Amino acid sequence: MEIFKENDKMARLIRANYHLLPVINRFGILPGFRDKTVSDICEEKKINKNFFLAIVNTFHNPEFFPQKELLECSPVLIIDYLIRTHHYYTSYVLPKMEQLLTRLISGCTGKCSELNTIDAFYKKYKKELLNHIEYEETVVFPYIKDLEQNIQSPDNKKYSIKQFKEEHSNVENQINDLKNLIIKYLKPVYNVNVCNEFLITLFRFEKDLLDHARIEDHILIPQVVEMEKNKKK
Amino acid sequence: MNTKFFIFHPSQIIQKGLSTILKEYFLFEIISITEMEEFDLFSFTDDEFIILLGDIEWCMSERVFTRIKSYPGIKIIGISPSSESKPVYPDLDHTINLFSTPGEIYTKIVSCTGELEGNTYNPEDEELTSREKEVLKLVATGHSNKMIADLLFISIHTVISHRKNITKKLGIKSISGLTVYAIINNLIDTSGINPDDLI
Repeated sequence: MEIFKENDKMARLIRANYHLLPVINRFGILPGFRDKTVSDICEEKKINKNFFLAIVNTFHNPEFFPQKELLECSPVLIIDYLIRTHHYYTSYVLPKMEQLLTRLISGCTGKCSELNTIDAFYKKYKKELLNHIEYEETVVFPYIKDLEQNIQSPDNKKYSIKQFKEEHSNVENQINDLKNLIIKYLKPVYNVNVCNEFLITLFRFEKDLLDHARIEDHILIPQVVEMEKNKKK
Repeated sequence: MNTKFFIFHPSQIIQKGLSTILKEYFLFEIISITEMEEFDLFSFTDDEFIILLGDIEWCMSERVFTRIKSYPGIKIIGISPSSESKPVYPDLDHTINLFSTPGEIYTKIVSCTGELEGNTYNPEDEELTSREKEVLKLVATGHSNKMIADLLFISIHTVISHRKNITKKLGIKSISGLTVYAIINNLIDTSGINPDDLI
């Protein structure tokens, strides 16, 4: 797997891996960039070049994880990226999956109760995911931002990242289960092309979520643990 | 069982070479690291099986080796520079060297794992035993491990063991996922209740 560099043309990154399209969108980069390099575009849009490259390379290559470089990035930069990722999930991916599920159910040709059960399972998963995202954006991220600026608020006094670590619910299991239930056990009484589209969306979503979790678990949380330690001194 | 490989070696050439060889035989995730601190950042679950291929010349001092060995269930394959180097630690599960053939590396890894998850098909693997079905029914209807143990007159340890086997056979980990499986396969009588409430 190749590692992208600042002098690479942005178009090259996308031709090498089109799954990077939503990732670059999170930095406000949209197609139509002609032959500009990563460096050109980052300078134009005032994006931290090293952070951008660390994120796209990590996404592109699961074995690549430039821990040291990412740990040196400001947590606020990381949080900003994570929030935009959440927005992509809630405004595009989840609605898309729901539309596909609705189409699957309405096109059901045989016994539809199984599909309805899958639908119920998806709804439960979605609710847990949305709760998790809301918790991160309303509690965890503001706490981290305050910590970084040394702001002490009454809510924050007793909170620590340890609570987040304990509550960081593993939604990965459920998305894995949803995949396996459809691939292995659901009888195909539906439009197979719609189902394939649903599964493909699910596979891509799962990969994105794993990448997202990696950044939260191995970069953001260790950074915060360090900040909390320094604060105590 | 979720298997992961770690390649712990200072040379990127060796990391990439070994990774390429492993990918020819296995579908598991491969993570390359150069320092023990990187390994410490990972947290493993009970159903994960870790195989670490570690350089014994530079990376694994006795202190580091002991630390790695303390991770439950981990298998360690030492990488030595040549076939003449003697293994430094008798507790190594296997050793390979830079002149080992892909076939030799494969054989040693397989003898660690004993079985390859997802790579071999055995019809017996998929079919739940009647006991496992009983446990699954109770899990799906919201019973705790303790309640299941009491109802079936078995120990909690046995309940957990059954649940691990069920997850391994079905590929389903969450309780709601198992509930959906049970409903779809008519293991639970849903005539009186709304199945969605169970999930």
